This record gives sequence, C-alpha cells and structure tokens, in this order.
Amino acid sequence: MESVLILPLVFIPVLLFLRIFRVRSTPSRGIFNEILILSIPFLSGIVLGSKGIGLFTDHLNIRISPFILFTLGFQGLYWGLFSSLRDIQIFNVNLRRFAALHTFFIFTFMLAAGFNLLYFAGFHAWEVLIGGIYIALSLTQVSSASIRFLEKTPNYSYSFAVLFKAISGMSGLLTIFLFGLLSPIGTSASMPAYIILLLMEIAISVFMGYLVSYALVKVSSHSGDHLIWLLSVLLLNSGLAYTFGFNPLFMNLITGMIISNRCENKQKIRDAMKPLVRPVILFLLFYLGVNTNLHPLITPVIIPVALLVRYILNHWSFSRFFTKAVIETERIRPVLPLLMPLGVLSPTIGVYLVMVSSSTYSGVIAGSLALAYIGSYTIMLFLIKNEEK
Amino acid sequence: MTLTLVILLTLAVTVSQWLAVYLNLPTTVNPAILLGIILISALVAGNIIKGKTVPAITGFILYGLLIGPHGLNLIGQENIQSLDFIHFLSLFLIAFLAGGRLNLKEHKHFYSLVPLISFGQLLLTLLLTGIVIRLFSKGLFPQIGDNLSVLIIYTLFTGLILTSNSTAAILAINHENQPRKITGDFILGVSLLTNIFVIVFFLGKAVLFQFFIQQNAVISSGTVIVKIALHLAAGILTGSVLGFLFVMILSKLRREFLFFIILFSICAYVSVSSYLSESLIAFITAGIILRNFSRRGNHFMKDLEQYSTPLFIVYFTLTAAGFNLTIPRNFIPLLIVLFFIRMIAVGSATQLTLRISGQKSKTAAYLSFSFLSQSGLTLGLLSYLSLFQESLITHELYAVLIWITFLNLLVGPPVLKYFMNKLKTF
Repeated sequence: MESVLILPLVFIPVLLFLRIFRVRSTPSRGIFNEILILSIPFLSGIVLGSKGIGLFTDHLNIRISPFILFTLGFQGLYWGLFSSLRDIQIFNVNLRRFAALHTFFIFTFMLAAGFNLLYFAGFHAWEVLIGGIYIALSLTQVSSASIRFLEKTPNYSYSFAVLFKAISGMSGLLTIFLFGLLSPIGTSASMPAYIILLLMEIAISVFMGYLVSYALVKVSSHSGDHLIWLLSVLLLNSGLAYTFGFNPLFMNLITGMIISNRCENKQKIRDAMKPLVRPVILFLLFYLGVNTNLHPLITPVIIPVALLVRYILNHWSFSRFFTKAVIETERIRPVLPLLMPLGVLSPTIGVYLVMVSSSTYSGVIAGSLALAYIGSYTIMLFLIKNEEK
Repeated sequence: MTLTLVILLTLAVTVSQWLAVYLNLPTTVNPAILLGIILISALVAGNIIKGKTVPAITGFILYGLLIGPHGLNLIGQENIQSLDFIHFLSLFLIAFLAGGRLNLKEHKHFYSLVPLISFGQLLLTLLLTGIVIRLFSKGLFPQIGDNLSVLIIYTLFTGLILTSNSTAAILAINHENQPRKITGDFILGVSLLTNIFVIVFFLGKAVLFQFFIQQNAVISSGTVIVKIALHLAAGILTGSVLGFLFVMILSKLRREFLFFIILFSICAYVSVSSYLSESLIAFITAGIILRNFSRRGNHFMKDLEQYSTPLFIVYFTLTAAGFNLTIPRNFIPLLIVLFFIRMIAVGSATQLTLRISGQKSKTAAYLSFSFLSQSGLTLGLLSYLSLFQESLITHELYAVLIWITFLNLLVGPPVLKYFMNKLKTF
C-alpha cells in the first residue's frame, strides 16, 4: 500500500513536467534531468526493498553496512577537505557573519516549526523531539548545486554565484557542526557523559587527521595511494563512530579539515575523491528508498509545510540580512528559486537516522526527507518556469 | 613510521579482540574498521615488499595470510564473512574490468591464437591430470578402483581446477607493471578465455558432474548439453543486456555510472549466489560490450583501472585470509606432482601454440609462464565440491587443491612480473 502511495509522489511530477510543462529552456531541462536522476535510485530502493520485491533483506543490510557507513562519512570528509582555515578566510567577515547568522536563524525557526508541526500532528514527546531535530537539521543547509542550473540565464551573475556557493558551503559546515554537537545527546546518559563523548570524538578525529596528513605528506606521493589512505581513514572513523555512538559526519569533517590544513597538495587529494561524489549521493537516496516508510500525515502534509516554512525563512533571511550585510543593494528576487533545493546533507542525515534507529518512525522521517530532497528540486523547477513566464 | 602505524593499528584490533573475549563482549570487529585497517596495512605491506621482481599483490597476499584465522588469527572467520559483500563486489568489478580491457578491434591477428592456446591448456592439463590421478588412485583414492565414472569425476574436477588461472592477478600486475599493450592484452585474453572454458563445465549448478555422480540415470547426456548451452546463453544474454544498458547509462550519466554498477552488483549478490559461474560470464560480457560499443567505454575503463588498487587489496587480502592450509602428510607427493604437472601443461600448451604460429622461441618461452597464478575464481569453483558426497571425493583432495592454489597465488605473480620485465626489454 505504501509503495503504491509513494510511487505517484515521485512519478506524477516527472510526467507533468515532461508532458504538460514541456521543459525546453536550458535551466529547466537541467533541473528536470536532475529530478529524474535523483528519482532513479530512490525508486530502485523502493522496488528492491521490503515494500517492493523484497530483495533487500536484513542479512544484506548487514553485509553492505561498511558501504553505508562509508557513504555517510564521505559527506563529512569531502566537506572537510574544502574547509581548511585558508578556504574559510578567503571570505570576508560580513559573508562569514551572514552565513553563521543565516544557519542559526534557519535552524532555530525550523526547529520550532518542526516541533509544533509534529506536536499538533499528535506524536509522542520523544518522537517530537527527535523528529523535530532531524527535520530542522536536514532543512538548514542551503544547496550549492542549484546555482549551476541558472548559469545560462540572464539573471545569472558570476559574483553572486561565488557568494552563494560560499554561503551554502558555510551553512553546510555549520550544519554538520550542529549535527555533531547534537547527536551524542541520544547516546549519553548524563551531561558529563555527553561532554566526555564529544571530547573523545574530537580527539580521535584530530588524531586521525594528523596521522593521515603525515602519511600523505611524508610517505605517499602516488595519487592511487592518496585514495587508499583517505578511504581507510574514512572507514576507520565511520566504523569507530558507529561502534561508540559518535557522529561519522562530524568526525570525518574534522579529520578532513585537518588534512586540508596540513597538506600542501590538497587539490590532488580533493581530485582523488571527486569521482565518488555523485555515486555516494545516489547511494544514500537508494538506501533511503529501501528503508522508507510512509505516514499519512508526515509524508504528504508535514514535510511540504516544513519546506514552505523553510522557503519563507530563507527568503526573509536573504532579503533582510544578506542584502544588508553582504552586497547592500543586490536585487534578490531573480535568485529566489535557488533557495528552494535542499542540500546533500538532507539524505545523509536521513540515512544516519535509519542507521542509529530501526524504528518505523525513523523510516518515516528518513523517507520523507528523501522525498523532500527530490521534491525541493521539483518546486524549484516550478519557480523557474514561473520566472520565465 | 608508516610500518609502525600499521603495526599499532593491527595491535589495537588484536588488543580490542582480547579485551572483548576477556570481558565476554561480542568479538566481531565493525566491518568498516576492519576494511579500513586492511586497506592501509595491505597497502603498506605491498609497498614494502614491492621490488623489481616481486609485485605489490604478493604483499597483500602475505598480509592476508598473516592476519587470517589460519595465520595469527587477528581477524576471525566471522570477520571475514562480514566483508563477504565487499569481497564479492571486488570479484565482480575485477571480472567487469577484465572484460572491459579487451578491445576486439585491436590485435586481431593474435585473437585467432587465443582460443587455440586456451583449448590447448585445458586439454593438456586434463590429460596429464588423468594420468596422475590414475597413478595415485591405488594409494590415495581407493574409491576410484575400476569405476570409470569416478575416475572421470576426479580427473575432470581436478583438471579443471588446475586449468583455471587468476585474471585478477594478471590485471593487477598489468596495472602495476605497465607492459607493452599487446603483451598485456594477449595474456589477459588467454587468461579470460581459459577461465570461461573452465566455467562452462560448472554451469547449471555443475550439471555435468551431477550426470557422472547420479545413480539412477535421471539426467541424460542430452539434458546436460541442453542445460549447459541454455545457461551459457543466459549468461551471455544477461551480460549483453547489462552491457548495452551500461552503454546507455554511461552516455547519459557518466558521473553517476559507478553507482549503477554497484547497484547491479548488489542485485547479483542477492539473486545469483548459486549461479556464480553464470554471473561471472555475464559481468565479463558486460565489460566487453561497454568497452567495444561505447564511445566513452575506453575512457571509463581506464578510470576504473586507475582506481582499482583498493579492489585488488581487498580481493587478494581477503582471499589469502580465507586459506585453510592443512594437509595430511601422505598427500604431499600428490601435491608436488600436481603443482609441477600444472606448470608443465599450461606452459607447454602456450609455448607449443606460439611456436607453431611462428613466434620467436624466447617470446614463446616468456609468455608461457604468464598463467601460473590462481586465486578467487579457483576457490569459487572449489566450493562446488559441496555437491559431491564425502565418500566420492575426499576432503583430502580439496586440501591438496587449496594448497596448489595457494602456492600458485604466491609463485605466479612474481614469475609473471619477472617475465613481463624480460618481454619489455626483449
């Protein structure tokens, strides 16, 4: 029954765009393709999972667990490789201030919105708490991928694109930090235990970062060796995180930041990881498809409302703070659709939730986040079509 | 420093294992941690051991043996099983890569030679194995007696296992050594075709062997031929469909292509566990089609090869870790004879065919030592032994064949690298 419900949710918009809206302009076609590409793994997951033909058993879930841990940690490490001190210092103070302000603003309000929506939907206190935090975290990041769809439009300006990417990068970084700080709460019994867990997590990540950067600088010069060292540290961090209840994204982010700070040849290191970026995102969506559950309220109501609230908040934040703090007089309206898509952290956080909790409720939240991720691109396409008119 | 780091990491796992046993906690290490440690440690072991003649994969193999349950037991059988999917994925990606390395448009002149050599290797190995088995049957395999069917099963099974070789080892050494393209492609082509010839005998859940084992003549020879032909066709057809699907996906979704390969591997892992031979044929065919029918195929295969070292590390380390090297003393003479018989049969068939086709004697001699390595495919085929009753094929023969595979895995790669270097300068 659930799969019957879920399939139209993804297919109907795709068919609509294909037939009714006749996507012809370059940005619309690009976004349409993106929706299609993102839908394939998610739908494959549903078809192969327990809602479909049931190929994906618990046994297989255990067997591919190193793979899932790898994809989770990958997002953190890759983000970390682009977040050295020098990378952050390139942006001026105003931009950094705006990014921080924007992230915390969105997170706080989304948290409030998430709590309220789940509370009024009649969920238990614990579900409201966990669900609210995960929804807020997933919807905080501004996606940088959306800017590339507008490259050939008259509204596109290179300087704005750079600014936008910087903000999205910073918001992603801060979201992972928030995620890292919040997730040990679930596994620690008291405040001292939480602090010890957090300190241990940071200490191990820093140690791993120094160890691998030493190896990358002193020992290996071959790019194939770089890849192996990075894969190993990624797997070790993620495995340790899973065993001790740490956050794999946070741990790998710190390790990546240290590697990026200490290695001269960081571009070579980033290039070694680059071919894995897209397959990893698709794999996350696939895994979410496998573990997705539908809820009559969360899936069709709460997530779309949360997306709408997010859009309004983003819009408000950008037009109030961004234009004042960063570029003074830039007209914000032409780029508003860019604020719609969710960042890659949404499916990542969804997968993390499924990994740490096997309850149906986790499946509901995770599946909804995947749908929201794909759906946010669909709404972006609507908005761009509207602009084109 | 790096070596110290590896030793420290390995010791950390060992200490945690001991602690877990001491505290009555589960002893299974998280597979991700295990995989991380294997990747770094085997890489370092490979780099230390790598020399002019010895390839890095020998380091991976030795490291696997060292940490395996039959070595220092740093990782147990449970831990190896937890990486079962990763091992399987690397085997299938290697099969795919092997198929993808074959360019049917190039080197047409030697492709006519390849089937002859492969067939020669198969025939000569079977013949010599039959003689050896007959000679040793009185002392070691009394169940053979004068029963022709049992003798055929013994000869066929042992001969086929001995004929198989390690395409993965050839690929790994090609990747490391960068021989002349024609040499590399030729060795790979022969290895692949020989293995396909061997796999054919195991198709349809080894129906051919079931035919010889049966007591009540339920399976006729016609059924055997039809079943093998059908399974072969199914493997090739599936591979072709998969290959053309990959061609289509690669043309549209280049950046996402790796995800689709992994997705198909997951499907294969779940659905075809009893049809290993058919799935291997399918993945090899898919690789050949992608390489030869896609504009971007060559580029993709080069990229995949560039990133293949982690695959080889996982594959060879886990394969070596799984070796159980125990053998009764009275079977050691058989082991030695079979080991040398294989070397002679495979080498002579290759050398003879190359000499007849007009190759220089030195080239023919160097190339004849290229197919000694054996690894995962051989072990996979050995698992078909579970089809036979213990009273029919004894466990000791299995132990002998495991030992031969192990020796060939150890000896084959350095020998191949040595003669590849000779061919480079020749």
